[in-house]
Amino acid sequence: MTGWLLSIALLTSALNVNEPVERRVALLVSHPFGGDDLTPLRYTDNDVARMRDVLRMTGGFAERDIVVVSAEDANKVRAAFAALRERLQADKRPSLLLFYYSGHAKDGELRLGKSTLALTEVKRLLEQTQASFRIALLDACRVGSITRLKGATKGEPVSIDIDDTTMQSGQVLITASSDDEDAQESDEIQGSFFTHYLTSGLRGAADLDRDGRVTLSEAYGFAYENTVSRTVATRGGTQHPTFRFDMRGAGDVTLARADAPTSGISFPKALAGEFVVFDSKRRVVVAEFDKDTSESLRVAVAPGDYVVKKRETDHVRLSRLKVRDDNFVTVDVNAMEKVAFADDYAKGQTISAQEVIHGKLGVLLSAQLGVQSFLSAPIRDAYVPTLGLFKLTLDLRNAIRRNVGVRFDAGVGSSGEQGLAVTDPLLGDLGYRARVSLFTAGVGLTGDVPFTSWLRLSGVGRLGFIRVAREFTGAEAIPTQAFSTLTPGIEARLIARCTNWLEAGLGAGVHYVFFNGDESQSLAYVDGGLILTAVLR
Amino acid sequence: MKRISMALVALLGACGELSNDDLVFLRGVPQKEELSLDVEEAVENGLVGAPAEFYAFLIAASEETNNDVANLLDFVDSIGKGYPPTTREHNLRVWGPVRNVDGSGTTVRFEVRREGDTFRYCLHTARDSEVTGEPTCDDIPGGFGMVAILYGEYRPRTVGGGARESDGVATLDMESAFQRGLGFSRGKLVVTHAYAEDGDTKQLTITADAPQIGLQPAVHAAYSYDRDVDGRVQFSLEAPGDFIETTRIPEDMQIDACWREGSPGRANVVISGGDLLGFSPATAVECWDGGIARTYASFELPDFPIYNSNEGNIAACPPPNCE
Repeated sequence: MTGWLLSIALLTSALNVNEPVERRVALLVSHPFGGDDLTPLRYTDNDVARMRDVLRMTGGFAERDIVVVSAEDANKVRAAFAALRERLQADKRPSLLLFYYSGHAKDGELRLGKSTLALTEVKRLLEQTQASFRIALLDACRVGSITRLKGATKGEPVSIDIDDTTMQSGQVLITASSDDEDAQESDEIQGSFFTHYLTSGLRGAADLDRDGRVTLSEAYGFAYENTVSRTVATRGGTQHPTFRFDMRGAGDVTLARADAPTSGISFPKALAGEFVVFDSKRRVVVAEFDKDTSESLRVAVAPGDYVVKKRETDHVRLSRLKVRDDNFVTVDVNAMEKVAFADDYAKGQTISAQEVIHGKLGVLLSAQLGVQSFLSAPIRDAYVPTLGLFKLTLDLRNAIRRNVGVRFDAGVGSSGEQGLAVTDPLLGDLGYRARVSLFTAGVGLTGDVPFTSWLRLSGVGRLGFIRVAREFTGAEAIPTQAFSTLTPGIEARLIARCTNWLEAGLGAGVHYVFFNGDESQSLAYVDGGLILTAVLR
Repeated sequence: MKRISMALVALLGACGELSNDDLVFLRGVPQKEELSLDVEEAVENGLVGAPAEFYAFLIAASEETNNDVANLLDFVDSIGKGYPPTTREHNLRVWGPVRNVDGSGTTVRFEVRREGDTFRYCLHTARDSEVTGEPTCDDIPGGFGMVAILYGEYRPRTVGGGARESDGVATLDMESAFQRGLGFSRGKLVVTHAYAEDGDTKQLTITADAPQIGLQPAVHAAYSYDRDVDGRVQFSLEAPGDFIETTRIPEDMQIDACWREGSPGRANVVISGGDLLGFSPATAVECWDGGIARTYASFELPDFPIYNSNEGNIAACPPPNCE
């Protein structure tokens, strides 16, 4: 390995400059599904998010030049390539294109849901962009759960032909695993091993020569060594990333600049050991590396709250840090608290046995705007007309077990003033007018049926409380009438995930009401409407 | 299984007062407009110097009756709308007995019962301390220490196009309540009523009796009010009135008036008894225009022709009965 690393290092490059004068664009693609024969992956979006963060912070990629295609089919990826090609053709500067993929691959094809994209086509699409330098990072995994599910067996290897001799100059192809291996996801790091270490390296940990730059070969070397060492004991087997390149006329590329970011964490020269940098808010590990005492190290991170963890033989040392804009916080080893392994509060990525069974707890706050209406027309006409309804719901997904959660809701409704068909055979229409309002609250058990990574059906069995009040208007000074009761019911929601924190969908429910206002009768009402959901966790 | 079902019903059972039948029973008593004597206000600028005098007498008598009716129906309304029914049966609603209504120390019970096409209603009242049980509408004029101050029958119906008609009889026995020290006005009214929304016709026959109060003798008055589909009102009133002021002994007055709203009207009057006791009755004719200003007045006292008078132009009077 050192041989080719050395050969790369000796290359000089017009691209290898202190500041990236070239235009840098990135296409980041993820898809958790690879067809019916492959187990869905859990962390492809996390991989893309990690890569996006680090490219923006240290890679010299402008926000507008990072294109993300998540859970889309092959045509969307082709269209993204075409758009990038037009973007680059309009720019006369040298250019670097980075293509990153996290998802399934099989039989020489990237599996994008039910569509496929042949690797040969990927290379052709890369070349057609006419970027001066093209990097493809393929973190393709076929059996994502193999490292966490007891008894899982190793399947057919990911087949990516890296010996293809049609590679053109200025092009690098890096895969997360060799052609007879599976790339592996880890619940502990909530992502793939390879992407995790690659991004850790790009944050600065891979800057072996401490010159402030992380070259492509440094980043690869860091990811390779850590991926191999970390996967050697996994059930999926040791995973060996591969590196295929042809950089004729080019040299090693500075992929990241550890000295460019304005915020981060500094590790003093004297500090040595095995470190993890944990983002407290997002509860993800953003960097993981070994450090010796030869040089100090700067790891780029965005402003926020972090925990730096140093693994010792029988305990861990933890230090909480707040990183602000334009600020590198230095880790003070003397200030680190000593914590037993069991009390490690920064192991958010360590999946517990409970979580394996239950799934990750999700907290979602939804607002629903719609209507509520009794199914019985006489009830609607004479007692409770159709109401406008606004409802808030708090979902604790997976609170009971995987895909089974708890929902709390509360809502209010109003009809506005309108006439009630209060009639009598002798008296006729009595002409009452009223404003009808409603309050409802309930608790329910939810069950989720995910169709895709972004679309799911959520059902709930609910026990609710309803209070309907009629405030009479007009000449009749009738005191407000009200009734309250419990309402068992069922609801269903079709929810689409728009972003990592926002969902939208449609919901509908039907509820039973035992109404004994004038005569005892069993009634049902329906409600439903548009839903917007904030994913709080 | 039955226990489980009952428990489920109890668990899911609604509590509250959301009832349309309550609203229907609240309309099981006549409305004020069905019992009111509709007369227009007189004006001051009459052709012959005064508003129509006998018409003004009708107004005063009618207002007194209307006020008694309105006060009692408003009180019933306040009970029906102020308290939830205590008994809800298919053909029955009862409000109360409500003790210490508005802090007055008075108990009130209001019942509306539906019998075929007839609503029967009754309002009983008593001092809280005198109530010994719960009377019903079968306990008239009272029972269990309570006295019925309002009771009657009301027969509403809906005719083609949704127009409402009604008839019935209502007794307002304020005097019985007053005798029990319950603070109502004096007297007793028996109102026989019929009303048709379509055509706005109304027939009212009212007898009003008040006992002697101090030097004032007992009063008996009889009203007959009939508004036909053409808007013609024929209003007869037999009542005492001190028209001849020689002494303060009131005469017996028989006023037969007719008018159409906004049109001229007339009243033929016969005055007897009182200061005319032993003499021939006096007669009078009074006419007024659309603004209730007197246009003609004649007075004939056969035994004392010197008091006869005749003002205005009788040609401006509508014919007898305003036909």
